Amino acid sequence: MITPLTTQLKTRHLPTAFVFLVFVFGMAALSVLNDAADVSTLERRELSQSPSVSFERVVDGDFTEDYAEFLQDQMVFRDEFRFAKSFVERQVLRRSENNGVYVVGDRIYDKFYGIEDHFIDRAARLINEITKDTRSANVLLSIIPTKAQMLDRNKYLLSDQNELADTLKENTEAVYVDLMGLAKAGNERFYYASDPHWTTQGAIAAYEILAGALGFQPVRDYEFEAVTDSFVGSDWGKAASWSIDKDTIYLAHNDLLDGMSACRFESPETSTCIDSVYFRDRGDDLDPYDVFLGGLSPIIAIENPLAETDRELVIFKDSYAHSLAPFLAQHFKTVTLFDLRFVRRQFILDNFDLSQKDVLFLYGTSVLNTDPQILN
Amino acid sequence: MVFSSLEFLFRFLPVILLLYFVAPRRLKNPILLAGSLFFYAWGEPVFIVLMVLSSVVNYFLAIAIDRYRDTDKSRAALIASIVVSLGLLGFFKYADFLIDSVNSVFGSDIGALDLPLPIGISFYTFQVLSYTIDVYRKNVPVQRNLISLSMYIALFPQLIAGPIVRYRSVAEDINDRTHSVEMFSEGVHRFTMGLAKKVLIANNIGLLWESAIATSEPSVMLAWLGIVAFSFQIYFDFSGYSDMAIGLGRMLGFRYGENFNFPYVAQSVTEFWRRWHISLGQWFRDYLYIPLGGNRGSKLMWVRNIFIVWFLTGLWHGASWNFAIWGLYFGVLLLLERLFVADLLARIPRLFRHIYLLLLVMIGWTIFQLETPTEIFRYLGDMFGLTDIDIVNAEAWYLLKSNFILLALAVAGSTPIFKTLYARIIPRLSGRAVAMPVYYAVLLLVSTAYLVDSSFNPFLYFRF
Repeated sequence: MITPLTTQLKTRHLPTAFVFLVFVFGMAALSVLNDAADVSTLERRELSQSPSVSFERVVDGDFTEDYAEFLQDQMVFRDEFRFAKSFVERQVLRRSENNGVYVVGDRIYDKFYGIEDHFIDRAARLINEITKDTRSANVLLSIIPTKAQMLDRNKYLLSDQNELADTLKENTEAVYVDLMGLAKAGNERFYYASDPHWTTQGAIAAYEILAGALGFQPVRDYEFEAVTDSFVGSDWGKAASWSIDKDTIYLAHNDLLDGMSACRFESPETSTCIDSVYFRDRGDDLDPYDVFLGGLSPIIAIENPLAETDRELVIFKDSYAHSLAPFLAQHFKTVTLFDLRFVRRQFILDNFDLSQKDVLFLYGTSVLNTDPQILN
Repeated sequence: MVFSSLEFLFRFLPVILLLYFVAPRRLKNPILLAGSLFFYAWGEPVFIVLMVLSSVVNYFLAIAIDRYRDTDKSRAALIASIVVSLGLLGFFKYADFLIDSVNSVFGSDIGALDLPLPIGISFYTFQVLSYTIDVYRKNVPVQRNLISLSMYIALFPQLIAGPIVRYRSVAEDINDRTHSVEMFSEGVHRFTMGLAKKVLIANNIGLLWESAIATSEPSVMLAWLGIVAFSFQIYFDFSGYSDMAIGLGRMLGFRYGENFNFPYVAQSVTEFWRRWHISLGQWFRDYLYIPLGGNRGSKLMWVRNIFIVWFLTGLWHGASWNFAIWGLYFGVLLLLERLFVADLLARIPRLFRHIYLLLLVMIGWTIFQLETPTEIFRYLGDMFGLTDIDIVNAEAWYLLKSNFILLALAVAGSTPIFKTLYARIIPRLSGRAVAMPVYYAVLLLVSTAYLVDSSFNPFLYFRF
């Protein structure tokens, strides 16, 4: 039975029903027609693809679970919806946080709250064990603060990263070199606006402190090349905010740096070697920060044929070390970087004699506080 | 499948709406049945068998009840319906609970069955029973069309999170219902509001509760923020689902009764339960409390009946002792209110009556949501400053600041303010033909944005 068209119907019910139907059917049609993307450059990850169907997968619920994930990842206007949600969070609900990051002015800061004492205690214990195993005479430890350390802890929910650094300083036998002071208000330029990593400027500031601790006069003569001015860091996708500028990645050059070569050892059988410390072909990767030493790898070796000494340096590290290591390599014949998340400690001890080398533990607070695999 | 999901909104819903409205009248019920079975099978591909079995068995038992009316056979068929329905519910939902309880009381070592709980079984079991009992009581005519009865039991709007729709209330709609643009648009209004309540308020404020229970820096203020947040989460989640169910029902031509009526504005526990999950309260009243004798016998019988009903109301929410205790907690409060507190309440200012109710409800939610006595007492201890923690701390202030607008919206949304505004202002709004559709479009878009970007979208009724 169809009711006659009253005023109410015209002014209220028809438009309401119309909008709803257009929305539901329109979104459905667009999302069916939308081509599935492989990756999200904004979120720095591979997106779920259409799940395979089989009787078993349907019965045990895997299919429907994967389908929900697929639909969420491949939703038409996904990026726009994520920006809209971020807008509502910040402008309507007046929250300073979205997806675990703070947007302050035109910069993004990872939230750093809660110090995982058991991870830190374990890290201290393992650093001591490795220090002993290397039989090296010169072992240094430095902790890299995240940029959130610059923010006012009365305004944002943040832990003082000095507490974490102090625990490691007090409980390890390595010589502690303090980099925590780098993350203070006024030093914003030391970190990318949209990425947790430090900029080339930040890496140089850290290098100068470390070079001093290693007994070298730091090199200060560089030329800079902007390799990209549209670097979208990994925090950009989390913040999903239009107010954040894209970053510029600078590569430093001088004769020493330009004379270096680097090898990445993905496994004992596969390695990639180039006559540079900058992997330019990686600049187009999902993470353009990979231009520095080519991104994460179990073992990376830098050679400096122009080195004035025979000293060799070993760094146990996370990704922050990638932009810093070439600067340190200016003073060493070789610098070898081990990422203990991807190579076992015993493998290193069995295959490398570290006793005559300088050893540096260089880890960011964010990785130490979240990754239990960091020093396996 | 849940309503607050992309697969429901942009896959299932458009397909079922299209098929349903395009189909001729005689095919509408079969289409709804097929769609509902698909909807259920999406989340429960195995236990759909159980629901179909329950529908078929009860279909024949109801016919038997009707055919052998006023004989022992009719009564036997009713008993069989109750035994089969409650038997399935009892076996799948309560077997392990019983085994676990027996083991702890007698120190025995009976192995758990580890049965997964079929989603929505508590809802559809109660719906089925409302049908067979009402047929026995001659309150409704028997349904001779298996598809129509199965559709009533499986109808996707109310299938997995209620409301518990009694057969009697939709019997006419099942056989012959009208559709109109008005009903559809009213349905859109309810569905959109419900979706926003669930996705924008409940999920969002649920994160505040999660923060409060996961904190390593507890404080009295944080404990209160947490329980206030959970109180809002469960209300907006549950009533949001009911709104979506009522809305979808209306789009399809069904008129379901209300399930929530601003429970947090109540001024007594008695009133609260008249406003909270109304369909469950009415079910227990009509099919348990009154058959037990209600308050017609001696005072002792009445007390017994109250305890039975509230013990079972608690257990209905989940097979665990905390739910039973939560139910009994309200049973005791209701008894106390009727016997002693009602007079006192009548004499104190209204504000204090609200505080009294909200305080008791929030204490109730800690019992409901935290499972073990240790957790419950620790949390209550935190709330009332009985544990060695700070009164306020940075985390509590930060969370209050971050959630202030959301909390303000939740407070306002828990009262009839918006409803009153809607009823008074909208009809007078000159641009309402534009304003209201824009308002719904914004709510739908923002809800979708949160569904696209959020990983926190819990289904709170997996234990019901």
